[in-house]
Amino acid sequence: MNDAATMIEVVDLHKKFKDLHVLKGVSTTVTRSEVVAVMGPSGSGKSTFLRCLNRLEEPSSGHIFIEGVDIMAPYIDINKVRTEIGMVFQSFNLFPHLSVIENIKMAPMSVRKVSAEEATERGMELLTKVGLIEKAEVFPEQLSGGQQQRVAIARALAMQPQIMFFDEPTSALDPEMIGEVLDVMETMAHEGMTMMVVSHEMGFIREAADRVLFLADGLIVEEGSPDKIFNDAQHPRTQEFLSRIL
Amino acid sequence: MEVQKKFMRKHPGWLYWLRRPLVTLAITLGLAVYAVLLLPAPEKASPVLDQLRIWLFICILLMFSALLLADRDRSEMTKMAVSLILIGILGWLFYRYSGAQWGRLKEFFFNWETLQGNWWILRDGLLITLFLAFISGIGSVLVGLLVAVLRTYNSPTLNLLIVAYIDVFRSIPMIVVMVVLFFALPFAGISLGSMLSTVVALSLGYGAYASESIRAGIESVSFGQVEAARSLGLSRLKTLYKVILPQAIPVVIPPLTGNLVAMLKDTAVASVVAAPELLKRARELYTSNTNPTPLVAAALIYLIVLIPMVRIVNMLEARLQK
Repeated sequence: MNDAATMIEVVDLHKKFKDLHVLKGVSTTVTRSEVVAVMGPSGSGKSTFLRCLNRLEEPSSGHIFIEGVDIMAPYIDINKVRTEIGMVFQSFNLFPHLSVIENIKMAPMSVRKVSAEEATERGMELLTKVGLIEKAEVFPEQLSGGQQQRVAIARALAMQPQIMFFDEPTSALDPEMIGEVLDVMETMAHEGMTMMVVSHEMGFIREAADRVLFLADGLIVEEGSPDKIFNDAQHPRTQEFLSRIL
Repeated sequence: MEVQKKFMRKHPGWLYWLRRPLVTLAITLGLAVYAVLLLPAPEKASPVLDQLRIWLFICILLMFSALLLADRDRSEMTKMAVSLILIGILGWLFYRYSGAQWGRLKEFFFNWETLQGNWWILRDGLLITLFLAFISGIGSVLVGLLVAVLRTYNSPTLNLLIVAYIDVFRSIPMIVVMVVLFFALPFAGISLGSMLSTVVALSLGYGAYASESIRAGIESVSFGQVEAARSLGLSRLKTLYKVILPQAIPVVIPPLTGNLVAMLKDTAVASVVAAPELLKRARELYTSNTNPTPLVAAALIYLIVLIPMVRIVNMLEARLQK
């Protein structure tokens, strides 16, 4: 756990919603710059798993270490932990009352106390990176889904996080917009960002992911390289799932 | 030919004839002639025949108006004019034949001379009313905001207390709250005075309503917004004033303004605890002059102040719809 290369270590994570036992003891380790794809049938707990890792959902028991620090410990300021973990949602969740650039500047300025000029400069760089520099002053409602999701990625990156979580980032998009979002994510993966991605985009996973976790019924039933999972799945649940989406 | 006849009326119907412009003109002229020649003079409008003539006139008038108003092909302008004229004629008939003593009514309720030199008293009353409404308006919004924000913590204990507060204040008439604050609290050693009692009562009472409006506004902001803000590292408080409130406030302004209008009306209740506001001043004038004209004047003043506010609420609501 003190290995410098370890970014995230999850030990025996459980999550219950009242009577519903969603996560039944998930353990895994993510190293720096690793891109981990999380797959599984709906209801398998993959979104809950990701959301527990920055305590957007409060885990019922277990331990989560981010860069060796147990973020379940009582003295932890979860807001500081979250500044290190960018998160991108299925439904974008851009702030509709703020323009694109304000969406990006807001958190760095109010949480990291970055100056307005610096935040603008950095925001513009990020918008260039996601290919939306000309949309800086536009409001989110005027953007397409794909553009909104790219802004959401830029907004998360503006906090300069160590880790990025993607919770089904392309599920709410029209098919022709999926590519532009996946391209941005692929670039990030190649730049060495540590990423956990809940997604079923086989092309992206094959191209960018180092490892696939396959969740079913609240447990990791199988994990391995994309190649191994897609071509040589061992567990019947994985085989059944893949046969349906392939 | 047969096909064309398939959907045709056998006869266009008598309404068809009544609708023709010349017939309409003829009926209008007929009614006018009736009014001039056959309507009795007011002083001798007692015999049965005179009564009959009046009611017959009203019947024809109503039927003719209905014919005009129900006509799909006539413009809204025409219909509006017809309605106004109809209301005018009915009012005139009532004035002429109801047998009311208009002179005495005017002497009692519209005796503006009794107000001569006293207008400043009503003006001062109005200023006090506006002042009370302004301070209580701010108070109620602050109370409402606090309660609504506390409610977002979803703590069962806190919610129990908040719901108790809201239910109690929504079920007690404002007048009772004021009386309790003004007359009963001094026995507990707390003497608020009439003005402060009013402000506290209105702030707490309307704060309960405001909190419900604000809570609805806060809940109208999707939970994804909160999650996005929190995952960027914003604290609860920062999420509230950077993300939730900026989106909730436009939604809650119309209901809150509506609250304010209701509260401005309710300041009149403060007259029972002797706050020197508009109604209290009007009642004083009423007692000293033994003439209720000041009350009518007060009613008109409330109307003049509140009608624009009511319009503003409507405009805000319409703007929110867009």
